[in-house]
Amino acid sequence: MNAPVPGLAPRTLIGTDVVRPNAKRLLAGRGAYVDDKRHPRELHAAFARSPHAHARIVRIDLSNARKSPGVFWCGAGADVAKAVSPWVGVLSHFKGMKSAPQHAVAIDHATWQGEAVAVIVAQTRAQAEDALALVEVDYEPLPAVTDMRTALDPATPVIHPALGDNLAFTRGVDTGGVPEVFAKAHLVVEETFSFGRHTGVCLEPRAITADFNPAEQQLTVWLNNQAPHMMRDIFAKHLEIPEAHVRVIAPDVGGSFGIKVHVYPDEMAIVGVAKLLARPIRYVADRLESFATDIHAREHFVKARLAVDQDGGFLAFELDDLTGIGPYSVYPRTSAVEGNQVVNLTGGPYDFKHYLANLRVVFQNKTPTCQYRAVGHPIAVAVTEGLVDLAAQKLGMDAAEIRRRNLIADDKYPFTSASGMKFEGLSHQACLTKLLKLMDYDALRAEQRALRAQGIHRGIGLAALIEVTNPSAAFYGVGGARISSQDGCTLRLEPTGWVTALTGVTEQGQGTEAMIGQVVASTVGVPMEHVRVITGDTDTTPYGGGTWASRGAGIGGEAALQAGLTLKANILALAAVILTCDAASLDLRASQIVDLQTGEALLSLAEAARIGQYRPDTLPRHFQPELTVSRQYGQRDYPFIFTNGIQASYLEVDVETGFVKLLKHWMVEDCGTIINPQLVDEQLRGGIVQGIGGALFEECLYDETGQLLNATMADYLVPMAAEMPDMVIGHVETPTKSSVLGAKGAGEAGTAGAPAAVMNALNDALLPFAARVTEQPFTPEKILRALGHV
Amino acid sequence: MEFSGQQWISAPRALVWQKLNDMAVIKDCIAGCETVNEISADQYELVMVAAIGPVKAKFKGKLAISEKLDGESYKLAGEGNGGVAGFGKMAAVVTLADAEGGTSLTYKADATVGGKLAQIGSRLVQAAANKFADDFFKKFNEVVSLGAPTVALPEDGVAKAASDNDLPAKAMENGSGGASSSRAVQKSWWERFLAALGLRK
Repeated sequence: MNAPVPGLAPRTLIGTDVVRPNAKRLLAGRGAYVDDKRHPRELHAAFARSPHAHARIVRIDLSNARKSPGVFWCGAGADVAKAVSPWVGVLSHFKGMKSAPQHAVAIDHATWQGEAVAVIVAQTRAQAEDALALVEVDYEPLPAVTDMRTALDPATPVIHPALGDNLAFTRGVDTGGVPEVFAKAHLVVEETFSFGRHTGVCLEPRAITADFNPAEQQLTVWLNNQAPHMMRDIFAKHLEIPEAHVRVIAPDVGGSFGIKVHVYPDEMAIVGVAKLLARPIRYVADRLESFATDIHAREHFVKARLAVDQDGGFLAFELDDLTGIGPYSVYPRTSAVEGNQVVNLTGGPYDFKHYLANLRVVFQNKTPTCQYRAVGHPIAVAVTEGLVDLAAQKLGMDAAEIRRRNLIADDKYPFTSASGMKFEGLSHQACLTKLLKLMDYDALRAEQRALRAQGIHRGIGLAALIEVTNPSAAFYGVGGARISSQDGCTLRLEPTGWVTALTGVTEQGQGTEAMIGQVVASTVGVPMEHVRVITGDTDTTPYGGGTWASRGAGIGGEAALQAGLTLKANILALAAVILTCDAASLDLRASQIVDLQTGEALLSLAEAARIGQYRPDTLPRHFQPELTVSRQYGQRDYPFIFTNGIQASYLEVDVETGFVKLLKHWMVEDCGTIINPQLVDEQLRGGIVQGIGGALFEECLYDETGQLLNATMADYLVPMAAEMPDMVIGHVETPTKSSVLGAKGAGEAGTAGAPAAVMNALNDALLPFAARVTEQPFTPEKILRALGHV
Repeated sequence: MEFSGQQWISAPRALVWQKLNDMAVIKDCIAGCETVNEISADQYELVMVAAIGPVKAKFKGKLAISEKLDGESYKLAGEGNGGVAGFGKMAAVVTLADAEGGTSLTYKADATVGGKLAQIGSRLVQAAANKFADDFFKKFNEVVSLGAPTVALPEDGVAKAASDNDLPAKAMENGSGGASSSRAVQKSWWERFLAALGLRK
């Protein structure tokens, strides 16, 4: 099923369902997470957090808290600032972007409900929390900026007066001539869309233990983060410790979804206090804290329109996106990326020329937002696909047909989109064809019509998408952020013939280690069981970006492949010396050095490794076996390697109650070379579930004073297994030519398209009632309102 | 968050009004109230312990009585700071009216909470605030009724005596949700159960 990868052994593991080596350990409860590890002399921290969304901190009195049993240390913002310098979350390639300096613990000014204002360190967490009750803080509440639609009004208070206004970033795209195209178009469809703010809800909350050893001036941080090397650089910079003296260890991580790739002020405070006290300090966010301090995402209000000709051909898209990001842009990736992605990706799957977009990113007194799985994609896809369905409806054209006419033709690559995105090679038309066949589209439409006559209201929704994967330095590096777009892999041939692989990409439960192991086993020519993969330790793994933007397989996998090919060549060179033959006549398969032509086994890898490590004296004087190799890879051909896919949702709406029953979901996706089909499918399924969560259930609800109202698992609804439909996954494979492996990312496409597919299916079901919903999440109440029942 | 309720009190209006203005009585009626100190006329400082769901804290706050209409109504405004648990603010208008055999007390309150208290969700907080107000006026009813001179029995004979043990139960039925009737009608536990399920009125 795969395109053959040059240099791979014939019986390659790439493209097979290799069982994840770490799955059994995790399933058996033998995972070791940050909070599982005990450290001698460790102390526990708890944070006093602002109950106000916006307030002046008049006075903090920690004297009673200090006297509380077990308390070792208490500090307010200024105390922590002695160890940690503030930061500003901007990128230089986002022209005009601004944000205010942010401290680890707020000083004088609290800007969202949940921002830390003091930290207590005690012998136990319980003692630290008991002492919190004795922390006295006088606040002078200030008017809170909560509604992003009025955030820029002159009457609205400015959160950071030094910035002048509440505008963090604005960006426009104008291909020119757009108003004229709209004026002359056969049909213009227009809609407003809103998206509820939601968050990642990781099973394992954020957790950190930091220890500082003054004798060596060495900082060691155990942190469940996706980008250990990035955090190492940041700790070094803001604590003024040489980077070589900072070690970040990311052990087992219980889910991340982009939540754990940011700099969190409370984590910076823990590291700072560890340096001040020279003792290990541990902190684990509880669920109330997670909801109020983990980054949120996706609070957008979008007005958009689409101009169409008489044949249903797309002429122009116009977009106005307003997004609220909380009081600070999150460091170091910034909170402008999500809106920027919406501008870049809207209309992305389609062939059209004219585009006018305007983005405004505003500050507000709510939890800061930043990159969460599928950053900006769910918004761009819902806006685009919502308009596409509306145009089809107005033209009386079938939803699949209008897409067939407008999706970029599969032979038109390389292609540059109206927003300026460069596509190397996509397969929209092939994916559409495959999807329609997979779901038996015509039969489904017939069933829908038949049931409608019986008063059963089902809807079919389609959503085509593109996904940003395998980023180059265009994302962060060019903007001055010290976040590597490269990754590395070091392979060590053990004297037993086994291979140890150290990789810069990280494992959060998604199967990175299995994927790297498969690539290494396949390229070197050893069984999977003979490869041990080590991730998540800046002292041992090669420097690299980590796991984000669906880059693990595409970037980390290619580095592993290059290292594997090099190690194999080195092993064959050694074998050639031992066997006194030409290395070009040899191959390494299943841990045997074999004759390339006949496949005859000539020497075991274990024997070659033994000689290479212990008996160099038997080798010619000029020959040095090189059995440890390192390779790095960064994608430099395109700013991003895009993937594409298309999803479909089939659902039923109870028009009396507004309840939605998801019946089935399909997705056909092209992520290039598939390394492990099962892992890819599960990434897509999990992503779809997360997308459905945003579409139907999840929203961080605030009152007008900026109080978060549903910060518990009882009140914040997450999608549950019982509500999820069966998902059918199909693939088209267009390997990227930017790497030998050919893999693109697959982690976010599910989340990118699911909300749009569900929205379109809902509106398709509601069509006979002339009712439409465009405000996510689509709760029963919103559906009943659209139907005019409430 | 708004809530309201009504109580029928087996005591004359003048007595009810007097007790409403007696801070010692008020203190006894606030569950978890530790101290109340008068700082000036109709201005008080109080300390109370309250628990809502998983959040328990000692609140230090102020209570002020204003907009007094002698014998008829006043406004009770309070705010409390629960430290790490957050804060709460409440304003209630309490109105008295003559009712058959006693006095009808109506309250209409508006409350806001912040911090952890808000985070745990309005489902819990609304229920807790309702219960808090309900308990307060139930207790108040009890205290006032106990000290009241004997009043004429209502015609249906429900409130048999001022010290009737069933009074709190009846008050509870009347206390929440702004029930339209000012008169408690005794119901069996089964009827109350069905009413709670919304199956009976």
